[in-house]
Amino acid sequence: MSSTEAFSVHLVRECAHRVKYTIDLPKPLSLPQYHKLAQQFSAQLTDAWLPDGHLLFHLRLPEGKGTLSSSATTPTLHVVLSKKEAAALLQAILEALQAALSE
Amino acid sequence: MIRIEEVRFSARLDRGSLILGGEPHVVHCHYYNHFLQTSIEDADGIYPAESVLVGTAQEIGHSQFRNLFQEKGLRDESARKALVEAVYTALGMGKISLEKVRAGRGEITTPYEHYAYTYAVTFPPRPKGKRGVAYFSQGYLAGAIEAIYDLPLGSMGSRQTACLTQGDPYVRWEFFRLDQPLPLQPSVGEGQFQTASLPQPQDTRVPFQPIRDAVLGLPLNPDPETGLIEAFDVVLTRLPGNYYSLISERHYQHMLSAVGPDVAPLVLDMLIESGHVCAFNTLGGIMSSAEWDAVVRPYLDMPEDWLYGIIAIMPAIGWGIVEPLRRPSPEGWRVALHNWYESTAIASLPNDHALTHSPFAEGILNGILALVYKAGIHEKKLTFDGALYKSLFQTGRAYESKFLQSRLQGDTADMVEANVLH
Repeated sequence: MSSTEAFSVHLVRECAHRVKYTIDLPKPLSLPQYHKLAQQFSAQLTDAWLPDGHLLFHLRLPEGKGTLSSSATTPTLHVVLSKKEAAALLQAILEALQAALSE
Repeated sequence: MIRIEEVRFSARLDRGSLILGGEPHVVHCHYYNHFLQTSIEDADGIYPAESVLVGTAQEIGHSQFRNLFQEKGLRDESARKALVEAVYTALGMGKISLEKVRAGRGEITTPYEHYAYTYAVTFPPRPKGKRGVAYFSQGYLAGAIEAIYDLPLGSMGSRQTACLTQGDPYVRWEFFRLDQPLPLQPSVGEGQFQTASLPQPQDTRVPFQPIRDAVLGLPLNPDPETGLIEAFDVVLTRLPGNYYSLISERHYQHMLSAVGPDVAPLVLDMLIESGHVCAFNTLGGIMSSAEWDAVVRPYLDMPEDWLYGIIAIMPAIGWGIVEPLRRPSPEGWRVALHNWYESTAIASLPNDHALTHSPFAEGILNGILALVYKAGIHEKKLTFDGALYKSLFQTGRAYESKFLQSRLQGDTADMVEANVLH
């Protein structure tokens, strides 16, 4: 099984210069897993507590290449990528996710 | 220097509105912005549509910045300019510098303007020689410049001289003093607003108040480099709601005057369709977002909960307060609209108005019912593209709405009912 087949990937929308996908994971990513992804992609990780107590994670890829975001309690990762580099970036993200979740 | 973070929209919870400088602001996406603008622009051979799109924005820009300068006690030219630049970005319109603007004349150039940028990267090329698409900015900034220099409303003329949609690497506008002032009216501001309590239907676990508060707390921040707000899979703006409402009303009036009453169904249908497009893109984007997963999804048990969830968000995006009057079903839904921004603006016009109800609300209600009961957003992952829209609506909309009561016909409230067509 290739890494791209490990998760369910869904194209949500192609918009302006972005492409949005959702990636369904077996379980929500943990904070250490987010940190590892951030390190791997030289991305900026931020979290936001919403007034209702929910936690949102945002990973901002460098050079405006896109964002990954997810609620801390749901296993769906929302991935918005630069259209030009979407295919390569998506592949790299899927491989990173597989590595992170298999540890 | 005024930072964008210092521009704060004041949430009026009992009205479902977001106020800045006396103007209610509403969140919309670039699909809706372009659909509505293009619907009006296409009438340019019938009446001067540019005057509606630019003039309305100029009225609002002038009124809003006069209010803001007064509120903040700003008299200094550079401080006023800094505030205009910060507000422009806070609206998600892009990045501008007023460095080359003086009292009688000016020029603004930017590579990032919401309408031009999103048009250029989203839609097929615009015919060569057509004017640029940055109407709102042109008028809004003309009004802002008038306010900066304490000039009367309508004293500045403007033109767009470059656009990304014409292959230029930037958008540029020129501003100049007019010998004869334009016949513009001050904005209606908050107008004939209504107040209401946030509803809490008893047949759902969807908690309206926590959802509204959570969405109010979302950081819909413009990108530091572009000044554009990318969120919910679309490019968002927080523009003055009166702009949308008044360009719709004025377009309708002009078309009736120029063509006659037979054109009314056609124009109304385009305005309804703009709401339908908005439901599909802005609201569909919200319903497919990480924020929705975090805030609303934990409470979604039944398809109807998706409808409750999306109307719970509306006060937080400045649209007003939507009260369900009965449980939604595949057959339809009936709701009351309190302080619905389109009705409030149009009801506040000093002279008569032509619209007898809010076509935008009709389109929204039809659209969200179709998203759930026709597209099945609650049970499958959707790809929001032209193919989906066509497959769902190629034989026409799935729902039709009618206003049972309308503030624009003298009723004290707006009440609208949608019914399934096929």
